[in-house]
Amino acid sequence: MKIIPAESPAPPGTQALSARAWSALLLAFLLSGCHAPEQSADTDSAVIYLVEDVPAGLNYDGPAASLHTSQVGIVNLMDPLLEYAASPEVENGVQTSDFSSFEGSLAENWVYDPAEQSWRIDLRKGVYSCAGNELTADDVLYTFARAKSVSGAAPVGWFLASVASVASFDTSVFDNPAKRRLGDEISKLGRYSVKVFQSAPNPLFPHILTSFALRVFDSQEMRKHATESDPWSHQYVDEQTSPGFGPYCTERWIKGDEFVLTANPYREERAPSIKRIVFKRVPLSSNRFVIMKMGEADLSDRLTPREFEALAGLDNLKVIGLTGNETLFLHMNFKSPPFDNPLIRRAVSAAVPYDWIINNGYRAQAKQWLSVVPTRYPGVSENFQPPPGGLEAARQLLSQAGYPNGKGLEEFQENFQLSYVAEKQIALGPIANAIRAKLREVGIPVELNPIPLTQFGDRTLVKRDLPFALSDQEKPVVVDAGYAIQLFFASPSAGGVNNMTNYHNDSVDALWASARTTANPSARAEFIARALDQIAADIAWLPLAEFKTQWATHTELYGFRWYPDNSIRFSDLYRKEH
Amino acid sequence: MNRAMTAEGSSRDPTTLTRMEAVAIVLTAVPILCAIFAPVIATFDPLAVSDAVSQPPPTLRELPSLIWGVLFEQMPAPHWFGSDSSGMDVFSRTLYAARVDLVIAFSANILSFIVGVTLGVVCGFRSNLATEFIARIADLVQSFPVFITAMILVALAGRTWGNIIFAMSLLYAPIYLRLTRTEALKVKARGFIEASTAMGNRPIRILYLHILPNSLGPALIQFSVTIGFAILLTAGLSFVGAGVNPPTPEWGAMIAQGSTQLVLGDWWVSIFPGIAISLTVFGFALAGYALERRFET
Amino acid sequence: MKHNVAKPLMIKNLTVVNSRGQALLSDISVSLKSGEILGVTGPTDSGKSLLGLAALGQIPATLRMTSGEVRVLQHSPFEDADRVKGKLAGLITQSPRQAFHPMMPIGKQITRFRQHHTGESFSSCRERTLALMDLVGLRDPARIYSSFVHELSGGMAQRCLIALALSTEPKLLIADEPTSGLDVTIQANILDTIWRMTRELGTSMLLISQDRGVLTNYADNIVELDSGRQKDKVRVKEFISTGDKAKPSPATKEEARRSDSRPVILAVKHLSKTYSVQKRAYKGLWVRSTSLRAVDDFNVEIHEGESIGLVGESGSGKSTVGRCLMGLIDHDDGEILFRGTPISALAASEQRRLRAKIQIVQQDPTDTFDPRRTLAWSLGEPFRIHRQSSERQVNLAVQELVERIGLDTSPLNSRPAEVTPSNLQRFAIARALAADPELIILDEPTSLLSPYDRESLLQLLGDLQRALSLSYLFISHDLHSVTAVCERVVIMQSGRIMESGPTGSTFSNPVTDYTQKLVDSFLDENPIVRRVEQHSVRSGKQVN
Repeated sequence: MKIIPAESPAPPGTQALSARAWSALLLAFLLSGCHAPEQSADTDSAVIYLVEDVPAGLNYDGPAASLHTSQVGIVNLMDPLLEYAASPEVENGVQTSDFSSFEGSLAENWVYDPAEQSWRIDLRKGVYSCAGNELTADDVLYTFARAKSVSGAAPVGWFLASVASVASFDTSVFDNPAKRRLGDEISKLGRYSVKVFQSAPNPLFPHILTSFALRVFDSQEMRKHATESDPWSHQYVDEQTSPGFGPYCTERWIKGDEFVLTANPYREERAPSIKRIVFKRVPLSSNRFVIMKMGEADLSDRLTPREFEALAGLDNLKVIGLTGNETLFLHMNFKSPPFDNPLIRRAVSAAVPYDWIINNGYRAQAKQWLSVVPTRYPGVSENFQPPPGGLEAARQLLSQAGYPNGKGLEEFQENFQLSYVAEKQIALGPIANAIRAKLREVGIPVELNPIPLTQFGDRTLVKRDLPFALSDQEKPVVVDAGYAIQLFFASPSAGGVNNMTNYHNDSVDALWASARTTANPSARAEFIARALDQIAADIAWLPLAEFKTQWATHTELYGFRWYPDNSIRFSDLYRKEH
Repeated sequence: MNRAMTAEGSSRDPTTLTRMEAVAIVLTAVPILCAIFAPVIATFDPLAVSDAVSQPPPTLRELPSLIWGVLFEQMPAPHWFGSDSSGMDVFSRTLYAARVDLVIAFSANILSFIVGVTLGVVCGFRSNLATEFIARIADLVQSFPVFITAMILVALAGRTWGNIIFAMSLLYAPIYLRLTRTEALKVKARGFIEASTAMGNRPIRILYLHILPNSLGPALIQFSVTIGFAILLTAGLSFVGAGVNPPTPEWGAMIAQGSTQLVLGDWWVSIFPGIAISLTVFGFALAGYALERRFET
Repeated sequence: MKHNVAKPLMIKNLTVVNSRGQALLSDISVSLKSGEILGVTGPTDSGKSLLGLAALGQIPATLRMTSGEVRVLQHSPFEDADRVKGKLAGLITQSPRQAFHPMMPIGKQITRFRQHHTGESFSSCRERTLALMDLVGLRDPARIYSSFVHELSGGMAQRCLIALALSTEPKLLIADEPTSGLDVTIQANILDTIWRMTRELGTSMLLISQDRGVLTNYADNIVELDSGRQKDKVRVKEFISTGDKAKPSPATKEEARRSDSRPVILAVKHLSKTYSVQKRAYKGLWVRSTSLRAVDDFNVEIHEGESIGLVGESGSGKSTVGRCLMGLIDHDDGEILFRGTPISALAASEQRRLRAKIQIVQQDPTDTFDPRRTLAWSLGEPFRIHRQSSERQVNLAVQELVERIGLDTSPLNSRPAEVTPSNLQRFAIARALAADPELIILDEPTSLLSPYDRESLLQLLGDLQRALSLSYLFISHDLHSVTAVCERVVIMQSGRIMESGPTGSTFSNPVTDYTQKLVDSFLDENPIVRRVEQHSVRSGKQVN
């Protein structure tokens, strides 16, 4: 900032001018000081990331675990044992993975012994945490022990381990405290080596090791912060940081405001290129849009399709993204008449305006979803076909069902209240509205019913009594169709976890049971494919769209890669002159 | 000092309108007429979703030829006020929204007027434990922050028109109660009330024949002003998502929807309902003020 | 007699119009000689007060002076306002409380006023103020000097106003209804004081009043105004002689005895009513409740066809008695019996039916009718309440009633605001008669009427009584009205009965001092000896 030197004997007029100029420059200086993003010495190191919210917690067993904003923090602070193999394919600026093969992250080697139904995992040597502790088998044991203790607010680690059939990670841990101690299902083979036993030849095991939960804790650092009442240091992880063996450390964390990551100083090989990331909380997407447009930040996500569209046209920004596992579907509860009538379900699927949703709802940043599982997932084929004929077909189906032109459906008025998350009114409102208009055209008495997020979650996941809803929040975090089936479509008696539509089909349950217990991959694939066909035919969910997961970013940032939790690993990124 | 010497009050001819009154009449008549004649004036179905999404209104240059075309050449009407992100016509929705806002505002107001005035007159006429209690309850209700209370009530009871009207009338009744009670207290002290009692009139009869008609003045003037407040409250509730359900056209909801699109340059979605609300509320407030001026004694 | 002595007031051809062009004063020419007291009188809206204001140059902004000139000692109060207002001319109005600043001690205000106009030092003005306050009859001037206006009674405040007006020793004093609203005894006293002061200072006075009694007793000459036009100035003696000679003769002892033989309608025994009053004590920090005995052991018997006057000043309890008898307030002690039956023993509905027999006429005719109803409707109320007739029958009954009394039926379809107060009062009487009562209680029915209207109303009351054999309880402070209508009179002071007896003898030969004082203070309209000619007044004997 140049300081204007005082002018020596100047004529009266110009003296006044310089005084004004002086104050104007002073003002500009002050204003610019308010706006300047954080500068660091190295232009390579700071990325300003505008987020909906900074992590509310960093504990994958904690109350905020399911929030995307928490997961972003967790996956950058902690490394997994395995990662999906990188694929050379780059779609619209985003690299994808080969979801059927793996590469080691913290693990160097992993070998399955079918006779024992066990996995032997060898750890990479010379990996250090933010506290300077080296990764050993003890840390892996600690991690699994903590998961099994189900001592956190949400037993996510335990859940994933049980999904993968890790031995004795079953529901008995809830009834019997004695069962919560880690037994010999996981044993230490050496300083850098462990063995994990499964109770079934479940191929999901390596998959779950890539997820955001079951990432390895720095057990020494964790034990330092344990207390009598909190032996597994949940509070420390909920409030301070999650000590792991990842590429970043928490420099500063102010909940509801800011979260800053800096590169792990103890990590010399595989050190990240971006040394510092500042997460800034900007809840409204329109505000994030404006800040990005002004060039005051490097990276943002979760904008509306039109906002992405508008940013894509700017010189210093680019919009990258692909359809990952973010989907939109119509939820019709089998326990809410008349949705128990397959003809009604098919009528609805015929009447829905798919094209409007794709072109206007998502501004073509989506494609029609023609399956019940994200089509990117391996083994998933496009097996969903709405009845051809649009509104005409819908009308025919309705009269077939005994409700010509919708006459008689008024008695189910309550159940035709189309619910959706009120906080997403901007994104989902128009889509819900279009669906309402089209269904009304054939005589179905739909009304809109936006409800708060918490209520929506409660009614879909806990009470399961929401009759009719538009949902875009369900993403199977394990990239496996079978996992999706277990989550959403298997009935509770068959192990279904979030079967929100109360779908029950014995053949699907049987197919899934077979798929779980077979060791033969192709047999498994076959069972799963047949199950998916049945699910699609029954319209357990009415799939509408797969929409792109996108980021708006500075043109100099590269290295983006898509992961099923939709979070960026900042260690992937690097700056390059455009 | 006698009447002839006082200023304009008595020299005004009661049959002519002042400028203020004329403006007030126009500003209140327009939304009412829009509400009544919406089906006739509107160019589109207010709930019709279309592919013409986020269209701006016609430019000033295009306007004359468009108007000509629509009037004389059977051209289909364009989106005069543009369209929103669902492709719904802003002009038609603004017209139909007048119905929602006015019906809710008037219903709530009439309900609270009836309840408030009745209780107010009774509380003014008789001063015993029960009426004091009612008056204190009214004070209590009036001390609640109106907007938040309405929001909570509607959230708890469900977002139906009936609940919104009920919540609003609950919150506005104390205003009428207080105004009428004050007037009733004044009227109670007047000579003719004493004369009426001395004549042998029953208290109830005095109440509705004498006290009530003479206490209504301020409440009636307040009615007009409160209509304005009620419209703002309805709009405010819808703005935060606690009012009528989408896609019902309602000015506040339309402004909320448009507010996020302002950064993208879509000004028309918010501005037109915003102007509609401003003029309507201003009109009713002005009407209340003009009434007060006309009837000041 | 000096030549070319400037007249204190000279008004020539004064015309004042309002915004609609109506002339409120037309071509008024009035002049005052030095030391003269000119009385100005006339009905309401005749322009009297406006004339007084014009003399000071203070015409309201909404009016315009279209012609004529005003001179106070050769100065125009319009152009030379500073010199005239306050210094050469002073003003005494009806409401002293509005003339003084509420937050400044009175004495200081008077002192400052004098200081502003005379330019003397504060301390000399202060001394003069204290002397003046003593002269106007205030006891303990030093205490009142530092009081605030709200701490003083009406009479004391008015005296302070006189002191204020006279503090600059003006040559002209405008007194506009200086005593209306004050008690009878105080009224006479204050007028005496003003009169004495003006004599002492040589001030001329423009005395404006509707009360003929005031003018005939104090003014030298009188000018009458009517709708802004003036009649010629007359000397007061002529004025008296042209006054209404028809003075009704007061009732005699014989008439009183005659009514004794008739049955008793209303008997009141040992009536008492106590109010608890909260007084601020200790400089306003503490509130103390004291009880005020408004009525104490009141007894009266009203016979059929008898009219009894209840006389007293404000605070005497007479209105309270009236309201107790009407059942509008509860009494604490004593009994009220109607034709032998105690009223309190009856059930509420019975009591209401009894109301038909005892009716009321209130003081303010403009407030006694519901402003939103026509007179016909209001008059129909007693019929609706007590006879439950159909609407058509009620209308017929109203018509018949009004005609029977001899009133003009045309105002029946008007609202109270459109009818003159005297007419309203007649209709109030008609309403009282609608239910066929036996007793009518009249609470100051003439006090708000102009003297012109008072007479005709009293005439009506007298006629009705004789025709219908009604009983009256006539509550008033106006001795003249009581004398005209009532056979008997009861004098009250501070809640107690001082004296009672036939009207004529009670007033001509009072037994108690208080009655004597009342009679003395009464300003007779047609006095035989004018008050200012009485020796006691000229000498300044204080009656406080």
